[in-house]
Amino acid sequence: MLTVKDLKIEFFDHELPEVAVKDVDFTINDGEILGIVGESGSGKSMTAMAIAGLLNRKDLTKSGSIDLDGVDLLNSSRKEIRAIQGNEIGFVFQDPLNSMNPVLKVGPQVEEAMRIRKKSLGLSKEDMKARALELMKSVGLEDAERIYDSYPHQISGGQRQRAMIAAALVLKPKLLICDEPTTALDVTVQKKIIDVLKELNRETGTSILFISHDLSVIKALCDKVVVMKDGLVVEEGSVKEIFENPKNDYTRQLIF
Amino acid sequence: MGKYIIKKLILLIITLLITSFVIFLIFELVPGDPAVDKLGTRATPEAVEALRVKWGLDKPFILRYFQFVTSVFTLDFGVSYTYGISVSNLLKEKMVINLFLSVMSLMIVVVVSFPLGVYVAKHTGGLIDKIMIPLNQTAMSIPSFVLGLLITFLFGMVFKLFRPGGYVSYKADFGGFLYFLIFPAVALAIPKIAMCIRLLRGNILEEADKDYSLTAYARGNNTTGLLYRHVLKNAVMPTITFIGMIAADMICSGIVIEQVFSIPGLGQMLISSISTRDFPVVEAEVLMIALFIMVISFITDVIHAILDPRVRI
Ligand SMILES: Nc1ncnc2c1ncn2[C@@H]1O[C@H](COP(=O)(O)OP(=O)(O)OP(=O)(O)O)[C@@H](O)[C@H]1O
Ligand SMILES: [Mg+2]
Repeated sequence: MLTVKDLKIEFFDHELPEVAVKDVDFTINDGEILGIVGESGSGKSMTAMAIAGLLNRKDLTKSGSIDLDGVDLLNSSRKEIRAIQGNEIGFVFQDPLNSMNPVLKVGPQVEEAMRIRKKSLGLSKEDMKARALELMKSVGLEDAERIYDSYPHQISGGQRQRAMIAAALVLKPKLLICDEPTTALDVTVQKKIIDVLKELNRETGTSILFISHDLSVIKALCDKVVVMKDGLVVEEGSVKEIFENPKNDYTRQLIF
Repeated sequence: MGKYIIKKLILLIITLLITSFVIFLIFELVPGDPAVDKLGTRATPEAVEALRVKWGLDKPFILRYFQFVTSVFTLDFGVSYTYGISVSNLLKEKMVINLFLSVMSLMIVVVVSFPLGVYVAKHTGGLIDKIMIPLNQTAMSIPSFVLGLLITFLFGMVFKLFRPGGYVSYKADFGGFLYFLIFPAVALAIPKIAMCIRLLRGNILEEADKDYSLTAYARGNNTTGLLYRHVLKNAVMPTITFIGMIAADMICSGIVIEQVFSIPGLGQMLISSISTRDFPVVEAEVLMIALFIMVISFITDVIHAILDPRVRI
């Protein structure tokens, strides 16, 4: 479904060009959960943002290809990529407080991917609200109605992250990208969020790209793992292979 | 929201009480006796005492202060020492002129700087943006009274859009009055417009760089959608606060601008009443200016609360 080939991202806003990501290759099949692990600065977020078409910036160059069912996400026009963003790819960021707009209510933010396409989808206000509430409940927001009408600062961190997951899922994307979605949350909430993602994957078959530097989370959730260091993929394989028989020194360091 | 407004109103009243007390106290502490000043040192003590009674200066301080505070509502500020007529009659027209001048100028600032600020932020690095940067810098560094002279020369003398020095009273011709005020209002507004554009542009770019903007892009927003649905509401708040602060300066610069355009506003009266120690007039003027500034800042607080749910507590 998703194939990343020879991805290279280079910053040139400093005197010397700085390679953030290099020679990254991996695939995610339908219904698969792929984890990316690696230390801070290893290029995990850059890889995720490249897939989500969020590297439309002037201070970097990117090369290689990212193929999502026949569309090259790295080299297509902004318009083509916009049609995919929020629609076929959902993105959940690390910090649920900062990734929500503080002056908009939660409900409209959850609905936004629908609202942007409301004409072509033929959705009414009520349809969108019903869909948003349904999803918010499905990710474990019991009092979805109240949260729908709350502002981000009025709900807890865990509720915010659940709402952000709901927001990423409103249009039933093929791929959900989660960039360290639980780092800002405490351990019990973290576990519940992982359960939500697992269940989502089991019930809807949505593929997930899950980024974390916490191996226990990866082990609990993912089918496959990509280990990154200094912008390079150092090892790749199924969770079983990597955890039982790590080949690379760095991977071994991470595990033990 | 209602609670917030009430809280701000109470704060406004407290501020008004403190400000008025300070104003009143200052003029109380100024050495010298206004009655002696008026009558001269050779006046008999009886005559001086009679005048003090007439002006109410024999009453205790607290009582006179109380009268002063309530005069905000009754608009009765007593009698001018110099002219012998009521202060309200003396100042009414001048207050109206300055109120219209300041409000008009603030409106010009808002109407011009918001669209332009948004435009240059949206087209950063574009031609207009490149032209605006030095233009803004220039506009910011020219004092309003110089702009006033420039406008008088250009629009008054070259294009003949108005008659320099030809102030029209609002009682005689309200339309003509407003038309004449446009020119000094623009002179007052230009430096502030430049500042607001720069502030707004910077804030929009800053907000567009925040995490929530990236999230909005990840949902398929285009730049326009991001700007209007997400960024703008966050980005205008510092500019609105700034416009509230400009209000104070509008009055002060306005006093100079009046001279340039020969408008019989508060400025001349303020200067002459200070030099003749006409305290009731000075006190009334200062209090009304303070009130104007407080009301503007109250309005910006309310707009702030409408835009940002986090301050509405
Ligand atoms: N604006 C930038 N200019 C230059 N280099 C950058 C910039 N942003 C990121 N980088 C570089 O890109 C590299 C990869 O960063 P990335 O954010 O992908 O790391 P990460 O693996 O997600 O780390 P973390 O776990 O801390 O989130 C880093 O080495 C960083 O120095
Ligand atoms: Mg990261």
